[in-house]
Amino acid sequence: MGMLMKISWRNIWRSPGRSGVLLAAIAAGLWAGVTTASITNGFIQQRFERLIESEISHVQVHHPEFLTEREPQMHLAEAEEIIEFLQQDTDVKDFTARTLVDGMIQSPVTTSGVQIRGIQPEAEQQTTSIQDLIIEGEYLDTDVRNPLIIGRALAERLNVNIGTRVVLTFQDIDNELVSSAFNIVGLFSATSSAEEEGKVFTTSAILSDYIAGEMVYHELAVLMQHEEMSESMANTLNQRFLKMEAQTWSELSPELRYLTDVGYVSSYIFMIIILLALAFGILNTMLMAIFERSRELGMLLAIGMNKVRVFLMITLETVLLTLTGAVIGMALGLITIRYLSSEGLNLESVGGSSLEEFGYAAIVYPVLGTQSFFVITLLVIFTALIAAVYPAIKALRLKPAEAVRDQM
Amino acid sequence: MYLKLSWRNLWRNYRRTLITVTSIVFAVVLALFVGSLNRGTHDQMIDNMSRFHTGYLQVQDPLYEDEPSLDNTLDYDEEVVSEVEGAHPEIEFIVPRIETFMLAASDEQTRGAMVLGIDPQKEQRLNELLDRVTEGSFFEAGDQSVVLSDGLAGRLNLSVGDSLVLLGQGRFGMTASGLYEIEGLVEHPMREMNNQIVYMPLQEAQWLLSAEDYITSLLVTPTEVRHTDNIAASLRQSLDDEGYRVLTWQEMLPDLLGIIQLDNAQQVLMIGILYIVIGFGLFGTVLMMTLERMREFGVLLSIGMKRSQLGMVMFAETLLISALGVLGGCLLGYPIVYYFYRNPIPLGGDMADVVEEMGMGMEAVLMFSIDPDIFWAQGVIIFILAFFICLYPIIKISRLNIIEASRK
Repeated sequence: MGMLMKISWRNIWRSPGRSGVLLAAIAAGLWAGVTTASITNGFIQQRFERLIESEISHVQVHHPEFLTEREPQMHLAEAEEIIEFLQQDTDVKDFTARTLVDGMIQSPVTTSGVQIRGIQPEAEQQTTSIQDLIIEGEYLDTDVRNPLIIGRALAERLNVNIGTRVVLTFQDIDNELVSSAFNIVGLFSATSSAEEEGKVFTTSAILSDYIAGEMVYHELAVLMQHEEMSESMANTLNQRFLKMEAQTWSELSPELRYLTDVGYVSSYIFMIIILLALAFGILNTMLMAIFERSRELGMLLAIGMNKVRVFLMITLETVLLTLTGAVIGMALGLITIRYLSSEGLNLESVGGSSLEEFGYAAIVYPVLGTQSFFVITLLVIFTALIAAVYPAIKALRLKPAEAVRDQM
Repeated sequence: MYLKLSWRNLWRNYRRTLITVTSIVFAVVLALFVGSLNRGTHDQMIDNMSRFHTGYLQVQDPLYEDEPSLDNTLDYDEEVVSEVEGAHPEIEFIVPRIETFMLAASDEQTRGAMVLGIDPQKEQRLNELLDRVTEGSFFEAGDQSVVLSDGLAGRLNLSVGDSLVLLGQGRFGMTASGLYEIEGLVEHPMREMNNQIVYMPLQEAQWLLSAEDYITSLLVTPTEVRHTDNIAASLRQSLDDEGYRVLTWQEMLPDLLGIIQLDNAQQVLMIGILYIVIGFGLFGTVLMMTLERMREFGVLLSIGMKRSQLGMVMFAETLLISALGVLGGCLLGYPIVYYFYRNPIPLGGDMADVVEEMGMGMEAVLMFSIDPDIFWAQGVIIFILAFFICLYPIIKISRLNIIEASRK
């Protein structure tokens, strides 16, 4: 075995061109796998964090029927107790309470349906950084009477601007219609125009007053220290309080689950395609190599080296090549990822020219966990070895006499 | 003569040719697979959103898009219909709609609702709306009743046979109010829409909104989606700018366009990486082929063939191999892609639920596209890639040391 090892290693370097190409193919395959995985991964993580931190939060608490019925009287009966509990829990990073009601917004020009969100200006800023989305005007901490923040798209649609007075119409908890004038103090931008057109913000104190005459909350949004704590927080809340339902982001947002699930599935599909391409490249190169070396291999057989050893020799060559290639590929991949994760990969340079306009971050920062790194490495090595089996078998079928004679 | 020589060369060692050609074939098939999956997914999204939401193309009053009020409406008469229908031969049919936002109320509940005045038969052609009735039946064109989306009906606690009150503003600020019997419920595939749509016969809606003979938009359906841009161009040419504005789905659904752009940018990256892997595999095969033929080249040169002549023969070989590979790839790829086009890949259990919950009206399948574009694009790219790689032997020939080569 030791001698075979030596022969194989020498064989590899005897024809640097051929080995170089195989090395390069394997290294490229591994590099490609690691890089694509880290780009997809980084992209998903970034989007995930953005959605969690600016829209959904980790856990939300509602009246059990609020999300389906959305009736104003379905507010949280135990709001104060829950808030007290959340304040004392150290796993909770931030949380905020909201008063929500669906209604209609009317400008001098037209009417539109909106979700009216009464928020606690300070806590909301802590939890979802909503203030950062304001592109014009002020936040809700102003002295203006009945302040309202609306989306840029809605402002265009209603043909209104900061300072314009609009009328909001909604139901109170006794199902009576309430109409009141609000003053637009700020405009916000969001990732989707549905978001910009569908939501308006005022303070929960003002909205509660109109709806119930006292403080009522329909929603609590909780941001945890870590994502992993979401599930247990939801469970604790559900056990402890009866007249409410706590849900984690994965139950609340199918979009987010789609993003993570489908995102990872498509990256697996792509990984399989890359591995196939790699396997086929190696298979063909090795086959060609066997044809080229048929004279040499025939000679070895003719001078008495047995078939098993020839097979072993070729397999060993491939193993050595693959391992060397894998090391190079890993190093290249790590360098690429490190570089990209500090510099960021600008999607605008590959055709996403107006991504920012649509509210997507155009720069992706790839990330890759150690675990997936090694899984990919193993997959690539495995693929390379599988791809080498057929050519090695082919070599076994060589007839020594013919092979030695073969000139071309 | 070069062509003849190279053709013979190819078949002299058909095994070698076959390996190189299959490398290219495989590359084309993989690239086609990825391209087709990507396009298919997008087409599915566009198709869904267009059919159930805005249509592929709309003709509107020039002011309506910026200020969607009933004051900015279109005349709907024979003249407009014939003018629009005659603008381009690929227009299949047109669908008139009047759309506004009103309050919908039952005895106890009030909700904002999107009221759509439609022609049921035409709507049926666009999106098979009539087949989505879950309860009761759909109204006929001249009726005075409404059909509710079942989400809205649930929120208002209404069912078939009950009365619905509609309250809002008509054209030029006229008060619009009416009491209608609910004739049926439909399930709209988009969750957001399903919670807010009231369908009513076009004529009745026009009467209610004091907008007789007016509509807010005319949806134009092309025979094939790919004609959309051409139709938009000819509509823009034949219709007067002052009176009409033509919008395509790209303009009406900017969010969707954003998602597709983002996806495409990622895909460009991924396919780029795939090309690198494919390129290395192919280069390996070609390099091996060249090494194997060194002796042959040396002999040819030493018996007096000029380097340029040999180069030409190899060039012709390269062309033939690349062309054969790409052609073969398209021929093999077509049935594969076509199979998946006919039988989309279903997404597994959990994922199917997620897609369902998203409420975008998408089916939980991975769709493929057989648009000839994809074959052209991928075919040409791989051909160029293969062609450059296959130039390697020519470079090698120009630097060949005759004596060493023929001794080998």
